Amino acid sequence: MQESSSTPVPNGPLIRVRDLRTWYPVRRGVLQAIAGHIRAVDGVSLDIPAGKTLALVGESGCGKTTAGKSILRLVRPTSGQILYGRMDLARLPEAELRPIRRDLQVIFQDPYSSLNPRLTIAETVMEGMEIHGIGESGQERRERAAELLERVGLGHDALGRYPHEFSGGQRQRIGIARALAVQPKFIVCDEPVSSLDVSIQAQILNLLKELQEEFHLTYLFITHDLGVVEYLADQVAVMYLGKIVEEASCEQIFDRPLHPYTQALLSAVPSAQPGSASRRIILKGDVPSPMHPPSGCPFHPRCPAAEAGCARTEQRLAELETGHRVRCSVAERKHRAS
Amino acid sequence: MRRMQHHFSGGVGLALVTGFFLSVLLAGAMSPQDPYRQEMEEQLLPPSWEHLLGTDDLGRDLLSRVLHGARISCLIALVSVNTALILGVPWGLACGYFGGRIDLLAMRLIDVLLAFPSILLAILIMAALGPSLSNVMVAVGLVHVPLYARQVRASVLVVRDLDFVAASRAAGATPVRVLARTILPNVLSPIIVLATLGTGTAILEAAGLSFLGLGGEPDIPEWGNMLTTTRQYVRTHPWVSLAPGFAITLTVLGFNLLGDHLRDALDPRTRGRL
Repeated sequence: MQESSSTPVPNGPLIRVRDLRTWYPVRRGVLQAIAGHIRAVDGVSLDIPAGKTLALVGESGCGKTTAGKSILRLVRPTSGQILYGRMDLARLPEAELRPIRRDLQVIFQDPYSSLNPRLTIAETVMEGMEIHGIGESGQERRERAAELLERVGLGHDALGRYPHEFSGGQRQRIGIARALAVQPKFIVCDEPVSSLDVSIQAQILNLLKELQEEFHLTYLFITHDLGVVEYLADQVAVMYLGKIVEEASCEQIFDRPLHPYTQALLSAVPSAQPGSASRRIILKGDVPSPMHPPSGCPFHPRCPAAEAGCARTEQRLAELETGHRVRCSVAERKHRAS
Repeated sequence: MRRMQHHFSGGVGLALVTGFFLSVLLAGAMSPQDPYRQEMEEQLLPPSWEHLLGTDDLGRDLLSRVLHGARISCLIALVSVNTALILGVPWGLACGYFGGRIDLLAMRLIDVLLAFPSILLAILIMAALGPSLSNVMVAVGLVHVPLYARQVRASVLVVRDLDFVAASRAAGATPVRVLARTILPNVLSPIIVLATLGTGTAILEAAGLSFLGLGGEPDIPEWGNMLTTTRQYVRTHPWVSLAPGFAITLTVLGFNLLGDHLRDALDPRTRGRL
C-alpha cells in the first residue's frame, strides 16, 4: 500500500496469468456428447505481484474459485498461460508440476471438508513435508509441524488429535499450518474467513497478514467480502461471469470505482460513518448462466448504466488511469469526457 | 423401540457369527468323530445321545461333518471375498477417481455383469475352470467383483471433490498416494459393510454351486455337498438334510444381521442415534 502502482515492484509479478480459460464441458445423453460449456473462467489475465496480496472479488458463481484452482492446476485450464518464473504451469505435465507444487499452496473456505477426518493433525501437516523431502527424519518433521502449529496459535497437544476435535477457527489454523509446511512462495486463500464467526475472522486475517511479512508470501485472496479486501489487499481484481471487469490498486477501487458493477458492490458495504449513508445501488435479477452468457457485455442485463450498444459490442479492458483497467465502454467514455 | 430391535438383531448376528468362528477354530476338538469315518452298521441313524445330529447314508456322524464344514465355508468366504476385494476395490477407486471414458466403459461392463443372475455367472466361470472346490471359491469371488467395484466407485465420487483431496494434490501427492492414503481410508466403512454382507452371500453361493455338483469330491464335508449327496433321503430321514441346511441358514443369517448392524453403526448420519 505504501508503494503506488507507478513504482515498479522490484522483482515484478510472481505469477502472470494470460488469457486463462477454464470451461467445463456439459455432457448429455447416452454417448455423453458435449452439449455446451460452462465458461467458469473466460479469458482472465492477472499479474500477481510478489510479496503482495491480490484480491479477486466477485459474487458466488462468478468463477473466482475456479480461477484460483486453475492457477494451482487443481483444475485443468482449457487454454491460456500461467507463467511462473520461466515455466508455463498451464502446459506442464502433472509429473513435472509435482515438485513445483511446493511453492504453490492453498487455504480453503470450508474448514470442515478441508481436513482429512481419518488423519491426525500431525499427519495432515506433515504430508507435504514427506512428499517434498523436507526434514531429515519423521522426528524432525514432527518437530517442525509442532512449531508451525504453535506459530498459527495451536498447542503441541494438537499433533496427535483428529480434526473433529477442533472448532472451525482452529481447523482453519491447521489448514494454514499445512499450507506453510512446504515453505511456499504463493498461497491461494479461497475465502479463508467466510465461514467463520466475525470475531474469529479478524484473528485469522491478522494471522495471515503477519505470516505474509514473516515468510514473504504472495497471496491471491479470493473473497466476496469487500471489508476484508480493504483490510489486506494491495491490488484488487473484480470478476463477473468469468471475466475481469475492473482491476486497480486497493485505494483506486475504493476511492474511484469506475465499473458500474464495482460501484454496485461497493455501495452494498455498510459505512462506518453515521450519516454518510450513500446511495445504495440495487442490482436486479440473478447472475446469468455461465453456459449461456449474455451477448456483448455480460453485465448489461443487470447494469444500471447500460446503453443500447452494450448488448451488441464485446467490451475490452481499457487502462483509464495508471494501473486502473476497466471493461466498460460507458465508463470509459464518461472518464475520458471528464 | 427401533433402536432396541436393532441392537437385538445385531447381537443375534454377532452371536451366530461367533458360533460359526468357534466351530471353525474348535472343529477338531468339538467333533465327536472323524468326519470321514464311515460305519456301515450306523447308516441313517436319527439324532441320539451318541450322534447328536444323527448319521448320514454312509454312517458318518453329521455333527462332526457340519462342524468341519464350517472350516471349509470359512475358507471359501475368505478366498472369495478377498478375491472380490483385491480386484473390485482398485477397480472402483480408479474408475471413481479418474472418471472419463475408461470409467464409462468399465461401468457399462459392470452393468452387463450385474444383469446376469450371479449363480448363472458363477456356473459359466465354473464351466470354464472345471469343477473343484478351489474353483468354486474363485468363481464366487469373480462374480462379486462388480458389486465391490460399483460400491467403491460411488463412495469415491463423494469423497473425490472434497477439499482435503485437493489439498493432498496441492501438496504434490501422486494419484496412487492420493487414492491409497487420502481416499481409501475415507471409503473404508462401506467396504467393511459390503464385505460382511458379502461373506454370507459367498457362503450361500458356494453351497449352491456345490449342491449342483460343481464342488469336486462328494465326500468333502462342505455343506452344499452334504445336501446334494443326501437329498434322496430327505423324505424318509429328514435330519440328514436339516443339519447342513440349518448350518447354512444360520451362518448366512448371522453375517447378514451383523452386516446390517454395521452399516447403521458406521453410517455417520445414524451413528448418533445408535
